[in-house]
Amino acid sequence: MVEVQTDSPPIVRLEGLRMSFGANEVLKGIDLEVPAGRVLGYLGPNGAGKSTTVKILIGMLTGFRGSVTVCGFDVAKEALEVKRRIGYVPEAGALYEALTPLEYLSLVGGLHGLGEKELTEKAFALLKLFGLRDQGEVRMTTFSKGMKQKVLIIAGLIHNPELVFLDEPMSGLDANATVILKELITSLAKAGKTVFYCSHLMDVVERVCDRITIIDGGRIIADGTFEELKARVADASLEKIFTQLTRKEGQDGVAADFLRVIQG
Amino acid sequence: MIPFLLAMFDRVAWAVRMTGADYGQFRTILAAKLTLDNRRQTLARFSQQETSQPKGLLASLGFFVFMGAFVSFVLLARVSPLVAFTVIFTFIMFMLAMSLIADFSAVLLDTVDLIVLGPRPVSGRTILVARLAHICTYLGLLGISLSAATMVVGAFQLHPLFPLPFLAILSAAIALVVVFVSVFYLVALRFTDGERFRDIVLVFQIGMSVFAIGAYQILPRVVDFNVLERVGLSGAWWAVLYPPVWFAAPFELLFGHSFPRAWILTAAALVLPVVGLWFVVRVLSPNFGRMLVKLQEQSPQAEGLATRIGRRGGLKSLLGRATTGSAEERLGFDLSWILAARDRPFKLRTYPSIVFCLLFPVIMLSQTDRGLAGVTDRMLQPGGYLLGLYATALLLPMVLSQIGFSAEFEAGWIYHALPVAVPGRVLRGSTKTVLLRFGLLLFGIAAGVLFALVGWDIVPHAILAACQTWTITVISSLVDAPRLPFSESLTMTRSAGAFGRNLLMLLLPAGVGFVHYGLARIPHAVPVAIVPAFVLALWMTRRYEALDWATFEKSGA
Repeated sequence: MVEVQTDSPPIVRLEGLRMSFGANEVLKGIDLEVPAGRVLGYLGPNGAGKSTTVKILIGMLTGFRGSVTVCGFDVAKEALEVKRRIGYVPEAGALYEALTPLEYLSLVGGLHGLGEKELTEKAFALLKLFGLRDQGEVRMTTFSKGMKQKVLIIAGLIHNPELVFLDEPMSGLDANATVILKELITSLAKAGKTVFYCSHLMDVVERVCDRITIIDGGRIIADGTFEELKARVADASLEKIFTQLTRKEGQDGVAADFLRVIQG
Repeated sequence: MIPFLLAMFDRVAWAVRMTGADYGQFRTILAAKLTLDNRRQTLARFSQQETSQPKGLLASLGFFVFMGAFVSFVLLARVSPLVAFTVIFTFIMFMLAMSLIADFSAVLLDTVDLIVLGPRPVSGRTILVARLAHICTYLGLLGISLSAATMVVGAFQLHPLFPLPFLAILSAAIALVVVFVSVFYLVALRFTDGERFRDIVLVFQIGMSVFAIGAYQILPRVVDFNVLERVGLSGAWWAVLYPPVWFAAPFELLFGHSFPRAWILTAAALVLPVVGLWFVVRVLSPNFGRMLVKLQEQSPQAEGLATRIGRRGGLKSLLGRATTGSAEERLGFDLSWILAARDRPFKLRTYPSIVFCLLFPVIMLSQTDRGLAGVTDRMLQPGGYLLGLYATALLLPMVLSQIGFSAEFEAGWIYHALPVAVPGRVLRGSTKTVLLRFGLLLFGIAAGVLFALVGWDIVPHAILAACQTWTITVISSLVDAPRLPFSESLTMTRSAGAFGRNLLMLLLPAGVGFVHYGLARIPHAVPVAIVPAFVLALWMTRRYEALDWATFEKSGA
């Protein structure tokens, strides 16, 4: 039954996506297709419109122009169907800290139709894998940033979604958890799931993503495999490629200027 | 205000330097602390929940001056100076202690300054002196505000130079309050961890707010100064154990009679605060730093706390399963149920009103000379018991409206990311939490008291009033700007329709109560009305289905 991936319809399709906040146009026409079972790295400098794109894709943000199809559903019309099929780990996601991880996961999982027993079992198993077994029933008030991030990652995946949006999911995680998450992303893709991955961590993107899309100023400025991007800019690391492509006027010598200012 | 205070300290810079502190750093730290005080939500502002704009130190002090003015009138009453000043010092010391615990705890127990100042080249002595100066400034301002009116009235009524001895005795009283509060902190910190300690502080904050709202409604009706005179403060043995009497004794000597006991009490007023302060500084404060560190640690009883919650969750999931029909409703129900019990700012915003709601019928009915007996008599009239039964209907809309707000409002992104088909259902879930968690309890108390007073005749009235309260609460949330539970910032400006809604929520329970009052006069009308009232409540509860995402977006949620 498994067809060749290039023939299957793309799980995410954007055509001429534009988004404005007041007079400020954040996205100026994004065209993008993501085939199922792939890991897409979505990069861009601060304020390029990465998180905005993701929020539109998952149906959190309305008022855009262009056509957006996710999991075969038009986001503008059937956001609910999209939300049922995806998982989302937000950037610096806030959570109700007075809750315990178990309570939080129950609330979130309940909306995805998971039964109480199944939820509790899954939640405990996943918390244990992330080293949070003993904290499952402790309020998150005292949790570190990384511990909360782990809870958010579990909350984004507990309902076994076919498409996962990860917005800077590594923030606050320690080295061990980072390794686990990297392997997890690869495993998700092997299991036929699609990962839409936004990040600044170039080495991670370089390692886990099948395809890399770089946006800047609301437009896609590069798109392809790591090898293709390398050929285009003629550089060895993604970091160098990224800075080459998104370099701004006057960026040279910022470090030297910084030093000059603090030295008075 | 702050530049003025700092200029005062500039005058005595030499004294600060004598303690070994660096005056430049001292001034910077103090300026920062006073600025933060100015932005902190303080006691005076608890009572005005409608405004979220910080009003500054001056506004809170103005509130204290205002409160103090009421108490200063005791000087005009025909009582002895001992009684008059016992009342005044009871008020001042009570207010100081309560605001130290309720309002200033956040500052006293602040460990953020250790994080900010720790890595900077500031000596421990400078930090200590700045901390002390800050506390003294706070207490001084508070004490003077509370007694400003007393000093003015005293200067006219007793002696033009009255403020001078008064300020001296006031300082001694403030010192004693500091001793008491220190001992309280020490005991509380010794037996609790950080989370529980914050809960204890919360109880004081709620008590303080209730006092701030209700004191002037209740006290004048309950306390009769002449009673104090008859009790004979000057003679009763227990008066010696009541510190405000000590501080009142010197004024009895100055403006009243001289008797041996007053001399002993005066001596106590002057000596004991000094002894107490010495005790605090020498014996208690070396442990204080260690105690503060303890506050930051993860609570050792966290495990125990968790199991306790787990067991209580049984009732929640039982009620949740029984009353909610969809996953969205369950989300709203569970989240509101749990957070209403744990979110401290929410408790601080609502619990004082809940206490006040219980007192409200008593206050409304106590405008008689017969005190509590008069209240009971009136309760037996239809107007009386209906007031008791409908008090809950005044409160629940306010609680429900507060559930929409949270300091952690950003965590509300989940409603938009999760598959929520009809957001109105989430709202219905939290309405059910409010009805079951707060409504059932408050209504139960009111109905229980009335049952004890009136007997079986109250039952049909209680059932009808319960249905009406349910309907009123649902209507209140339907006409309010739709807000998902704990998802909106407290600093958001209130929408334009808020006034109209608030008016409606006052008039609606009153109107419904009048209808009930009318029905009570027609034989058998009340039992018959229960069925349509119940159907109406059910029908109104279905209306949440119409609150879709489009409605939410239109109102800017």
